[in-house]
Amino acid sequence: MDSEFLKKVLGGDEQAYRYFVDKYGNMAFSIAVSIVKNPEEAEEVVQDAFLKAYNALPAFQQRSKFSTWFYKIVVNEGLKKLRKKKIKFAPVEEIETGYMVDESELNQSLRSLKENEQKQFINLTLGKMAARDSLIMRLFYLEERDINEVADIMELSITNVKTLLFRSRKRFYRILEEELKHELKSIL
Amino acid sequence: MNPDDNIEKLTRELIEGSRIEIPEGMSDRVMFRITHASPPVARHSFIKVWIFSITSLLLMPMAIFLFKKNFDLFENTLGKAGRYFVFLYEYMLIAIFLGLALFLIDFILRNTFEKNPRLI
Repeated sequence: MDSEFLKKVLGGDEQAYRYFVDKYGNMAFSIAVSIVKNPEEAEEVVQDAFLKAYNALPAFQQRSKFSTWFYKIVVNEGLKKLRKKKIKFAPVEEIETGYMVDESELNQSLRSLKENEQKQFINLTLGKMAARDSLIMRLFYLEERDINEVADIMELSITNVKTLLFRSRKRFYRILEEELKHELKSIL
Repeated sequence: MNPDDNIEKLTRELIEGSRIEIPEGMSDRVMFRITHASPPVARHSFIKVWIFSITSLLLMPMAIFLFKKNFDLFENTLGKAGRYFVFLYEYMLIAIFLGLALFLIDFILRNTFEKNPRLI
């Protein structure tokens, strides 16, 4: 389907590009928010990425999926924005091997929340995470990309992706737990 | 099911809930930029670079000619410092001329090819 629309766009049908905007806009926005942490800036990033992809379409050789190629552009545009703000992409470090997730307790606390409150907590947690961590979580769990594609998009090795994913998940639960405790305390 | 699988499942469910809706009208804004404000940047810039390089080369003899012509005059009136002054002066003139020429070329290219960006 993508290649069909790709041909149309390359044939001069600008409107056919809307197919890509509608199909990949949502995830691109999630990726951009993960990196720049701000919806207004994330929209700028997504717009620039779409424009850049459009102009680079003739050079796209279709060796990878359009989505992988495009998300790579979104990530790069997001990082460019971060560099302008002089914020560094968090390095892969800080091993917290000691932290264990009490999955049943966490599950119980989350289930007690309403759906929109739950969503709010998850987004708050992802917002508090370093750009690299929240990006990998969204790519892997939300977009359900496999490890190879995540590695390609983030320009990391497969081993690095696996390690980063493991650490990010731990950080995610640690922050989430802290947020929930904080919320519980403020209620009591 | 081992504990790791449970965590994986829970994480997937939680992150699934974090799906963010795109701002209203974002797709239209993107399409507007595509159809109105976006000449094919890469190729367009490439052409501009070539035009700039060729024009600079063509204008170089003119700069040298003007420099030589006015050299004595400036040296007589302003002394040795006049040499540098005249050189800068000629170059500034040429830079302004080049800027205007590029602006015009850019304007013509945009208006000619914007309707069908794939032409260039």
